[in-house]
Amino acid sequence: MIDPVVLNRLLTADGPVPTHALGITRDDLAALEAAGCRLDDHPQHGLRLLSAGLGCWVDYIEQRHADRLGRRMLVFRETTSTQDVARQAQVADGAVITTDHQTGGRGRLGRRWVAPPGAALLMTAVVRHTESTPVDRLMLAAACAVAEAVESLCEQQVQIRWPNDVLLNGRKLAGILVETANNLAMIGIGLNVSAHPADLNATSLGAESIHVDRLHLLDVLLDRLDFDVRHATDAQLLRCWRARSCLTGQRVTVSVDSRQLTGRVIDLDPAHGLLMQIEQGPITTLPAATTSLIV
Amino acid sequence: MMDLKTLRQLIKLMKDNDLSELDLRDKEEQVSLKRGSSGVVHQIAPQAMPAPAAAPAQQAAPAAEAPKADADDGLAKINSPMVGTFYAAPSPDAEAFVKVGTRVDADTVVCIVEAMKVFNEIKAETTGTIEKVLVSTGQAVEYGQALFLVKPD
Repeated sequence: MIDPVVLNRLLTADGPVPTHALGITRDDLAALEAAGCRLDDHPQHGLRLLSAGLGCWVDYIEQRHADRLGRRMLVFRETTSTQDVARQAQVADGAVITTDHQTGGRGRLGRRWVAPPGAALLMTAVVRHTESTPVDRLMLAAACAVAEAVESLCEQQVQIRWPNDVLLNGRKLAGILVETANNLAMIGIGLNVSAHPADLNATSLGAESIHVDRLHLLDVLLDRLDFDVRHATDAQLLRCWRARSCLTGQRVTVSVDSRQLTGRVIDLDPAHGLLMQIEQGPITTLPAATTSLIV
Repeated sequence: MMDLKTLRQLIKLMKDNDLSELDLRDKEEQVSLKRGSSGVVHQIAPQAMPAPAAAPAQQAAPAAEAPKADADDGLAKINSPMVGTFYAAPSPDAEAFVKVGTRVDADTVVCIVEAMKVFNEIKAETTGTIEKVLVSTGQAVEYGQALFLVKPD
């Protein structure tokens, strides 16, 4: 088992900790590594905790979120995607699946989501899916939760690019994917924490000098997500979105069901999608599930 | 290969014909069944002869003991890469990742071993057919412990 004294000492240390001073045994090291901790064990300087493993505080998170989202945590070292696990494991409302590494991460409309191992917060939150929580509303709630969680950790304002991107300084920080099966919705969130794909217009918290432990971020995010999904009113979500939407007022071209439409983004209907004033046409509602932005 | 179905047929045969004892042998294995007032007692003992690619003696029932050395004959093992708890399915309600007879390749996830609250999906890392599941859900497994036997192609 993980020795909480050892873990706490490593977490609070400014630099490497001499292993003999801590009395760290081989078993302690094995336990930390099994929990997903990344350690730098230097023969002269000692032991340094590069990042805490997701397994370290699962009990704590489950306990803290006992009556809400996160009451059941499943941590995977590596898996194809947390969305797949949620589907396969038939987990119940309130479960959260997270992993260090996804080998088949995906985004909306079959796009791929790539992140180096341990560098991103990759999670799927499973919630009951009813008529009062359409997919568009869940995407909105998730985007707002990510934005608010990140903002609570730094001074900067985060932007939301409908339907599923969260941006920091104009670059993609997080992506959201909502899928449904039976009476459950699986809210997938990928958030770049310490690294991000180099070839895309992407960023990470680390790249913006925001250093945060993934478990802390997860804890904060679960609180926001639970509130925004289960308790927030449409008006509250809309206020959050309007203050952060980078598309409102913009002229955009979208593809809907293999048709291309160009127009100006007016607002959002929380339950049904983006409202767009089509050029020489009517105001149209674009559902998130089938719409992709072209420009 | 002696499976539960064949064994049941043999027991039925004994009952129907009111036999108290049955001894069956072929190249690879031997089955001895005895029937008394307390029920059916059976015993399976493989014949002492090396058969490199032969099918193994299958564990027929909880009471039956099949010597290990022969059971592993010609079969590949999928070992646990760590100390932890074995799970055959992704959740108690879900179906097992693999069963006897499931075809696997290197990337097939065969089970989960949980250590320090982290689930580790274990891949087959071999190609073939699952011949035997050696552990059951919730069981503690050791580093290097065999979890499955796989009949290679």
